[in-house]
Amino acid sequence: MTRRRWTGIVTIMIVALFMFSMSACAPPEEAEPVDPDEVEPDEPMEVRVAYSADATNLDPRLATDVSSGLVNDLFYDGLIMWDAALNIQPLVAEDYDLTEEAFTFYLREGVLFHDGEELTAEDVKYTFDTIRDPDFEARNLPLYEPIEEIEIIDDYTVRFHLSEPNAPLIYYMHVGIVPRHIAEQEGDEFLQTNPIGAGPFEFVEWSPNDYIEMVAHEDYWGGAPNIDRVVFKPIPEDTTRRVELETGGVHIAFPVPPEDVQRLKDDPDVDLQEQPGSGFEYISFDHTQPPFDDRHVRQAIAYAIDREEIIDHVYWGLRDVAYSPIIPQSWAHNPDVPRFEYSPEKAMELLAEAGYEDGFDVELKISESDPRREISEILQYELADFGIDITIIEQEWGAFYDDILEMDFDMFILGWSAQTDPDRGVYRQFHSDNFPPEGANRQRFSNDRVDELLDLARTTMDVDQRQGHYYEVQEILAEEQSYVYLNYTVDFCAVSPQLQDFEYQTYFQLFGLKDAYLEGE
Amino acid sequence: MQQREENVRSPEFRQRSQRRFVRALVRKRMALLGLAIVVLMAGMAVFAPWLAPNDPLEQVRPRALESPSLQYPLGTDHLGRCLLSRAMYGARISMIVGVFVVCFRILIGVPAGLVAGFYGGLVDSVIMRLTDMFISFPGILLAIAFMAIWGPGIWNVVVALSLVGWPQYARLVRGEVLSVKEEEFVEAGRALGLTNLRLIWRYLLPNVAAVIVVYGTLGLAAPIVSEAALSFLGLGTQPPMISWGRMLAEGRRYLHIAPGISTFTGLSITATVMGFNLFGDGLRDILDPRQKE
Amino acid sequence: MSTYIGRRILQLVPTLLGISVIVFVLINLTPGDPAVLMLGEFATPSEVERLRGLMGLDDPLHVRYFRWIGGIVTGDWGQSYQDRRLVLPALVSRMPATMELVIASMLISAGIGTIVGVLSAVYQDTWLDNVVRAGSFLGISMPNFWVGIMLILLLALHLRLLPASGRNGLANLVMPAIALGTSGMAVITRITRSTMLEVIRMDYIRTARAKGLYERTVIYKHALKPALTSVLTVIGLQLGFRLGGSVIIETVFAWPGLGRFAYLRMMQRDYPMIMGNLLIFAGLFCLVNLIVDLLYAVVDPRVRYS
Repeated sequence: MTRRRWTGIVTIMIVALFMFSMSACAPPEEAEPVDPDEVEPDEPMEVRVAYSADATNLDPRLATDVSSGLVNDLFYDGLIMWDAALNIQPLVAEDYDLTEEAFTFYLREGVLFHDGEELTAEDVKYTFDTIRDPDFEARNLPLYEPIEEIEIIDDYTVRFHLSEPNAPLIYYMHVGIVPRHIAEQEGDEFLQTNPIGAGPFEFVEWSPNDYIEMVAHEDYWGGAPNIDRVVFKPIPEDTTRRVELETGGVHIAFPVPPEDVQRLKDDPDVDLQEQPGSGFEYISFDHTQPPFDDRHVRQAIAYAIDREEIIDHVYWGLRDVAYSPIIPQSWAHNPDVPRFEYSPEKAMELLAEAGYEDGFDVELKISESDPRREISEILQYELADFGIDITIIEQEWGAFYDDILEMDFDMFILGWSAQTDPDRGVYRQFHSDNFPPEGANRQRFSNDRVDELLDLARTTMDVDQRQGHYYEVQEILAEEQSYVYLNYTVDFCAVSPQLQDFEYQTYFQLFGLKDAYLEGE
Repeated sequence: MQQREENVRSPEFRQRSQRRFVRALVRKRMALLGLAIVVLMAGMAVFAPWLAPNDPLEQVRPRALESPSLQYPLGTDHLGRCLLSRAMYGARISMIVGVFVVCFRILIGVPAGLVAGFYGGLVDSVIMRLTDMFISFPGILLAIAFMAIWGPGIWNVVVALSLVGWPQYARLVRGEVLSVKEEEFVEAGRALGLTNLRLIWRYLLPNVAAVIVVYGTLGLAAPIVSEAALSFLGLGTQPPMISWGRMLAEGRRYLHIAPGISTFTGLSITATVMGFNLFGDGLRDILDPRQKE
Repeated sequence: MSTYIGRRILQLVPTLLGISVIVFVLINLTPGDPAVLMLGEFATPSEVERLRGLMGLDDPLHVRYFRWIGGIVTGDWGQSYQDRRLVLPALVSRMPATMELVIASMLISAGIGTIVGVLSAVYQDTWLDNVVRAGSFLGISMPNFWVGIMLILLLALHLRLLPASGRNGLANLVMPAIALGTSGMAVITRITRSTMLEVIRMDYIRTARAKGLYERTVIYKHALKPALTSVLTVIGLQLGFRLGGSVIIETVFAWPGLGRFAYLRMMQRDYPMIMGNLLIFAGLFCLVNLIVDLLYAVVDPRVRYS
């Protein structure tokens, strides 16, 4: 080996390395958020939050995922919000007036956007008009179809004229109000990455998959937050979020998986907050084909599985058995429906009655998820005793969702979340007008009385009457076992005890940060 | 080179060389160790129903996540199933995937390599460009893409891994053919008026056989790891089929509570791979001395 | 030399074009309508139709291919179906993380592998040598993702020394880099050891020894250099494999690089992102191989004329 050749090799290696490190350095690294140990008493109060996935869109009119939603809650205030029991609370609208013909909102005066401009009826109209514009491609557009016209009465009064009565619509009025002048100046895409709203925190920076940084909105109409700065870090791994909290890297970490709950409850340095969830988990069936076209078979499945035991094993006993599609904290929840508690004998009888004493072969589809994989393996094992041979098909979400929409399944396990007004979930899942792809009645359930009741409940403004309709719907659905309900979800959020006056919420999860403060740093 | 010619011609030589091979193998202690591991794992796979202490699918859920005991020598998983029994049945999937994938890779790669090497010219460039393209992807990435399209399942895994891995065999065989093609006995065969097909079959194939055996054995390890990786990502096999990769993935949720699941399962994969590597290395040293490291 | 480099780069063009065809066909034969996926569960058939039209999904496959490859050449790699981000900037922004990981793993495995290999050769047939040889065999045989899990178990969960995942600083880099580098380290150790042993047996080393030079001088000055040459070549070859390994290691450690991105986007069926991602990987892979080949050409000038 000559010296020259040797030099050549080294040169090429160095050039190669250099090229790689060039690309490695392309966008300059951002400064790390300040280490807690380095914070002086008079340093700004910074709260760091670990959540499971990065936001995808910071325009509240377009965002539909949980992560974007909870970040946007802090940037943008909507007309109204609601508490854990789903009671409507005023926000930008200090009062409102709901009739069958129109919803009228009376805005607070002096609500300022982060750029100092005042929020007026113009901005409200603009926000909802863009959502209703098909060219804007907002996914939630169909929810707003009952709105015929939005009328500006004066700067602080705005009226939504409805084409037909629609009680649930009030729950779609929480969308953050966007500043019209910014959206029109900068173009509609601007807000997706540069949010400007009237919420308690102002946007500073978004480094995708790394962090989102925000500072207190000093002119917030509800008073400036105590916390000076909030940094959101997407950390997809449960373990890492937990360790980050335990080692003081973050002040809030959620969601907390069930297998970590006991350990965190026992930890004196963690305040583990629990809230009822906004959804439930269920097994769905193809109602158009044997064997699940027969109600008795669906009832038999409900009797054949010990849902309490599934919760004990898969969710560490932390959830409650579900028996209806309306969550327990809702005014419409009917606690007195048949519950089909575990009884293998009854299951056997029903199967025999339906002519399936020797069982049958079916496919059970699930999307990738540890708990659902475990549930389906338990089902596969337990139902084998009844001669029911289940093939589990675990798919990535896209393929799973395609198959569900195209009715390519015998059974599937899925969850329903973010339930607000009962109409939002129940109408879409059980009305026979709502077969996919438009609706979420993927099992093709069809019952005239349910259709009638759901239509009535949608167009009636009186809560007591609506409650009566939903009670009856839940009774029919239970008797039919349109779904076999598994459990109601529970949310856990791990919080550092340093963070005072903070309460995690089922809805508007982190909105409480506006009132919280940090102690002892 | 004299040896090659003899190799083809006389059956006596083949017998003699077989004895020589066995003696050489016995002298290689590490290769023997590898062979022992391979035999052990294969035996576990074949005789799992008789060897396993428990039904690998039986869920005794009240006893989930237990530590090793007499009844459950390696403890239980999150659904109260016997880990040792599952590890034994898991060996079946690994072996099946390993053997089938290598066979398919050889079935595609060897003819491609023979044809490319023998005919040369345009055929050669086309096949070699094709192998270039396949080799220009990280294989596992392409396999993930295939699985995302076809959906999980053991035969999909076999086909996906076969498709991404054949070019290595094609290139290897082509190289061998190029070095053998110009030898006297091939010329002699050609002079005798043998057709190209017969030439390939009679003279070229037997001469690349040793290389195929060596790399086939060494190559058994890679698909086993790839299958485990795909199943780990949820793209491989589906329950109730038991795969080591899936067991690793399932154990991850309980890593801080029951680390044994991940540890034992990973050790099974490592031991199997090591067995094939040791044995394959030994084979290579004996059958293909030129390629030593 | 420069004509050789030019020729090699020209040869890359048809390969990359072929790859682009494979990638495009592969992805576009995927079942499932991207328009449905993009619009989500609230979509009506008319909306889906409209979006299909906008996205040009109703055109024949070859028309769509040429439109796509035209975009690739002009820097317009399309837009994500998932979050509507532009493909090229999204991929470029994830490149540093992967490069960081690959380079760190390379440095770790080359550094430790060479040192251990040299020691093993110098102390041939001692217990140290035996341990190293057994260890390197183990290293080659362990699946990298299992190494990752074991590291998480030991260093993150038990000792709480290092963060289990994410990319927030140097501490995050340690475990994925080791997991990705273990098998490479083992290979480098073995190569270093065997080359060193070969060199030590050679004449000029004997001469050097006979001249009464210190053992250390002999080993480091005369034997190490040629050994390093082959190690360098192996490192180059391994770079490509490491790119592949990054896919699963990044998934295990939630490392926000190209590999995990590819996996996530495949799960989400984000076709434009997947196609771009596969193409980038292929491009990097080819680049690395080109560099390795050039390296060979420097080592052995005959290669250029073959």
